Amino acid sequence: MNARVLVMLLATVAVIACGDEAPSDASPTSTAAPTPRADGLTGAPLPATTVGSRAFDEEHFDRDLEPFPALNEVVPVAAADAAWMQPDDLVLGAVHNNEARAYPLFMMTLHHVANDTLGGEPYLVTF
Amino acid sequence: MVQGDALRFRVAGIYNGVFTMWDESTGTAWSHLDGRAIAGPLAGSQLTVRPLQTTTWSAWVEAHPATTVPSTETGASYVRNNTLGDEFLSEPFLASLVDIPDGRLSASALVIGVRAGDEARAFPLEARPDDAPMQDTVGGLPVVILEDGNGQPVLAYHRALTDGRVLTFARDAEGVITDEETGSRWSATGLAVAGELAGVQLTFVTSFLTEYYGWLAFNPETSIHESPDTPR
Repeated sequence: MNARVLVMLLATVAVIACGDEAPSDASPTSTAAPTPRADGLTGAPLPATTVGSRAFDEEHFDRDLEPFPALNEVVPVAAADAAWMQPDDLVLGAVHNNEARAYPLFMMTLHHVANDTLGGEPYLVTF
Repeated sequence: MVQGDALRFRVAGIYNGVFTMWDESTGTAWSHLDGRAIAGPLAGSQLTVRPLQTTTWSAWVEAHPATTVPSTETGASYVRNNTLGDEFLSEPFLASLVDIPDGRLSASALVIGVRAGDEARAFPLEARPDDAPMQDTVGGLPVVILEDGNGQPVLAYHRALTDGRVLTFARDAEGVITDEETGSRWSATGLAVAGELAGVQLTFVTSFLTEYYGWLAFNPETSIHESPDTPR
């Protein structure tokens, strides 16, 4: 399978962040942390979600292939200093522990995987 | 991160038409669609899926003024690309890699895939009603697909409160999302920003934007949200 074929296969947009194996307890926040309400009212919690599995085809899995280089050394730049960004640029936006970062689509279509740290925790972003 | 260790991932290949990756620590193969370990020492593990919106830079900055963006000085050359959901693949080629879709939606239709309880449901972006965000019940959970500042559906949130109330959402003429029960206004990340419920944060429900064929391959039992929606 050549690189061109792989590029064509990038159709699926996926967005994953890396936490641990615990059931999802994601707590999305705005950049400005919401003030906890005095009455304690909040969104209701979720039950655990299970995920099934399917047979894996080794035919299309090759650790030496690396068709796309992961983005491993993220240097964050403030929005005001990111003059290259245009208003209509699509981004994959994440917020974790009150830290917000936007991963431009034009970067993720090259790397497809970003190994980053967000809100003090290891964070994986995929496209 | 798995069992306390941070993993570093690399792209490796294709499974069900979707990229796979492996981690440098164990060599385990992972799906990049939904973060599950497919084969190898950590098979069966599941990364926690966190909310990640696909939106425009302008809408993101307006909602998150303190955001950062990765420097593009990485040694790579980037080409501006703002297209999603093109029909990249011919059906015969796609069929060689994945069970192609079943006619309910086109292979490359963009959907918000939602998993809750034991259920998977695809919310086609095109199914969004004119006057409300998409709402449904998935795996017994009432969910709403919240929208960004451009009115684009982004991610799923649990539309229930700890006091037992279930919320019904609407969109006003300015595109602002409000709940019919209290009239409170809601952000794209599930935070009530004004009104009686101001400060309430809805809980994220595992969901992401994807093309239908990948969602279907990984969730063959998926149902599809239908519009016009009738919140329950």
